[in-house]
Amino acid sequence: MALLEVKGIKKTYTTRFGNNHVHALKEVNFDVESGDFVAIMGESGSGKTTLLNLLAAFDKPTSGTITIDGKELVTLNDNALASYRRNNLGFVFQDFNLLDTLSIKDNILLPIVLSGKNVKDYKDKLNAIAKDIGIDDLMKKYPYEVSGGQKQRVAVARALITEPKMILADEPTGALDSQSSDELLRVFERINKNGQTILMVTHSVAAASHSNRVLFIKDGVVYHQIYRGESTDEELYKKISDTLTMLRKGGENG
Amino acid sequence: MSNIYRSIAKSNLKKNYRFFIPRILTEMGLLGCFFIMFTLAIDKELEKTTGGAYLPTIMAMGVIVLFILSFILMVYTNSFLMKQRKPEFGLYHCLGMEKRHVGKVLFYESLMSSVISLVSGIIFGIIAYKISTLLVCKLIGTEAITGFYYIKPASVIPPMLMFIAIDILTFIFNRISIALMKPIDLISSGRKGEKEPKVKWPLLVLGVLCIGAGYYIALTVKNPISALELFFLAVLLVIFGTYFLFVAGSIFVLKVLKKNEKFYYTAKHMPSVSGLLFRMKQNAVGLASIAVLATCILVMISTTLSLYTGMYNTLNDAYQAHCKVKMACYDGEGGQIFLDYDDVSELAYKAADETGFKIKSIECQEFLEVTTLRDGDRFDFVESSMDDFGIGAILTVVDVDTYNSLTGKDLKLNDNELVYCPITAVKDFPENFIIQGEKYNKVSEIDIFPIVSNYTSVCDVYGIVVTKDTMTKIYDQQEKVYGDFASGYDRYAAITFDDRSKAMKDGFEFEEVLHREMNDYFDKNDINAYFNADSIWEANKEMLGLYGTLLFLGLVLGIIFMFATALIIYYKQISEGYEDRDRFVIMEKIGMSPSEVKRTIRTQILLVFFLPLVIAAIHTLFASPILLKLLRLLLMTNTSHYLICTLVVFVVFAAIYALIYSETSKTYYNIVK
Repeated sequence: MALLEVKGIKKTYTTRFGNNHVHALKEVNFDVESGDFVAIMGESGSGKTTLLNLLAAFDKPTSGTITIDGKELVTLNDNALASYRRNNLGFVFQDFNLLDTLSIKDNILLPIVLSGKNVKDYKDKLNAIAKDIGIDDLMKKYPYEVSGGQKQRVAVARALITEPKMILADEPTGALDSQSSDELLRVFERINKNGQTILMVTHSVAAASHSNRVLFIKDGVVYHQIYRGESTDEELYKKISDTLTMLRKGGENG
Repeated sequence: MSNIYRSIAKSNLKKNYRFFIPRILTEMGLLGCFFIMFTLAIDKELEKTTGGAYLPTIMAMGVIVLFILSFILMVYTNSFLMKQRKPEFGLYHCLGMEKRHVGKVLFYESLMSSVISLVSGIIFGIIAYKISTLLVCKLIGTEAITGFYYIKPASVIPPMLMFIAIDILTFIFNRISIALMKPIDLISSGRKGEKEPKVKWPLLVLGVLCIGAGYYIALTVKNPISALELFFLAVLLVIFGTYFLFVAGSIFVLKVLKKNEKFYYTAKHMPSVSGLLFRMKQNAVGLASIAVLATCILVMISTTLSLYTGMYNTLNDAYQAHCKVKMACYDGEGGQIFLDYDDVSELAYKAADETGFKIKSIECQEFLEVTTLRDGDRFDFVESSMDDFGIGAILTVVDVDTYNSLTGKDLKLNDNELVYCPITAVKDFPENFIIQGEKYNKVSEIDIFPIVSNYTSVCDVYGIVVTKDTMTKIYDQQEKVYGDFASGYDRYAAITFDDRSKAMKDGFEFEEVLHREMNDYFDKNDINAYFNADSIWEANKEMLGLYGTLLFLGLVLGIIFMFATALIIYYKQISEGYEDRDRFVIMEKIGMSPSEVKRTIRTQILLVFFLPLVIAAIHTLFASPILLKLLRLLLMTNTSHYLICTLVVFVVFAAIYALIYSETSKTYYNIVK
């Protein structure tokens, strides 16, 4: 069974007076296997952020089911969702979402603290992750003292510390320069090779070219998908560009 | 051109109403308070009805405390307002306004908010004053004073000028801080890049010292007179100590908590402790203000309430005898006339019969007031001391039997012993008494002297209780030195009735009849004297006036301070809300459930808002000894009654405080959600 199963997801927003329905997602179906590194691409307004919000259970679909590791998200209440999210998902956001008032070390430990576990049991894990990601010399600093790229790596470390089944990344390179982006994506590749499942929403071709599989969303449906197969990053980059061009043309024609 | 700035300023006031309204309310409330205080101090009508003589002193002290608080509060609300609005000013700057243009907008904004506050403040004060005087009239049982006669330049102009000055100062401060600001600072919000605050050790030590000194004074003060002298110093020490301690101590405590990993690394504590640590710099001032205000409220209301409600017992203690008729009168030519005891009692019985009173007993009480020159422990009768009262020291002597019958105590003394009571403020208390070369051992000190001296406003007065023989000896000694100018005995006929409550109610009738009888008696026997009586009903009327006024002041100031407290709390809720919103959004994103968020918020707010209450309770507790001494000056000696009043006031206050807190925290939740 796949780690993540998305079946017939629909999300409809109703405008304030109730007479206009906006279909953000019409019919979305896909699976993600354990250990996969999936990128979801699409232009602004294509519904990719809506999809991520549904996957993260920040929002509920109008219809359809999302099943993670055999558990159906729709059936859980708010508090259960919170603990589910905490124990099974790791998040990396475009704007880092680090707490200014906590040191880097405490920021990484925050999910552990929030789930009521003993911080001492995670000392070794913390050190290992920090070393792996290359932020072990920043632990005592505060978020305002480090660069954007470093902040995002801290956010990755924070996502990894709970050993989540899946990492959800929302435009993780959106606020980074190209070099920092590159470094971050290489971190993603490395943790994926160690078996970490990653689902990343992005509109950057460069970012998507580091993944193993790219889903294209347009007008609320999964329009197309590309598997890396034996391609190198550069070849995948080319394929993605071509697909996007094609999609855009299709959009103009239709 | 200027119209543009004015209209921008106008729309800014509307847009930022959430920040401006508390500011305007603060200024309005404080201005209203000042108006009330100044009016109280000059209100002739009120003076007539009550013990108005005490008003100026109490008001002067109130004005000083209130001014310190107003200044701190206004600076505090202003800095909060400016911090919230910095990004807005930055935006104007980016859109092409020069700093002087931003300054113009700021000017119009300040002008408008200031005018609104000043006008509404005076109106608020006028209405609040009317309502509260009607209340006090009801409280002390006099006829209501009607009309708006009290609106006078003397009560309107000083508070206005005070707040105009504060407004101008804050405007200048804001204008300068904008002039010094770089555009980048204006745009990026204030919190970013702020360093974790360090413990300010000197301030912490100073705070501990100030509070320690204040507490030390309160605990060790020996008698009511020195309590009166030192009270204000102790108050100031504790106020400043509280501010220092909150600013430096809070950070110190939070750092200690953070060091304790077991405590710190929990979902309940980590977000709040780390958040508080960064915010304490601004928070501490607000919290300290709340603590100071709360202490003022508790102290004012509990003391005045205990006076008012304890009046019955106080009167009972002070007036063992219900009416004291003076029997030693001066005839206006330096001579002394003693009325005949038997004649006076006969007249008293007659008057009692006529008015339906039953007399239980009539006692003859006697005391002596002599002039001396004091040098350390020596009190000598020197002829020259009569020339200048100012340098003399008065000994008010009462014999131990009279003392016992006046106070209901059972004191025993030997001929070479005395009991001492300072009647007026004296810098250095005599350790012993050597009167005209004779040494007397001071057995003990008492706080209240049962005799009212005739010289308290003229020079230092020392009350002593001695044996009858010693008193006679002192009388003889001074007569030898002073000759014709020697003091005579003061003598009273102390009348006690069967029915005390009837005496309180209808005593005036008795006094009227006795007055008439005595005058007839003087005429018939050709005695050049006048009728003079000190009675429980007279005292009751006076006390009702005095204590009623005090209670009124306590309540009015208490309500005013409560109002200020509510404003600060409201302000804090808003500012905390905005600062916390982002943090809770983040925590919810990485897996905190809504109920956990709510729980964390509650822990944090409870901690922050009830800390001042705890501090205020501790301050009030430590203030009790000195307050009890002060209450003795007002004849109130019942410790347990005071403590019960304090407890009741505290419980009521805590309930109101909790109500304000829960009402305002709704604002907080709305912002965070």
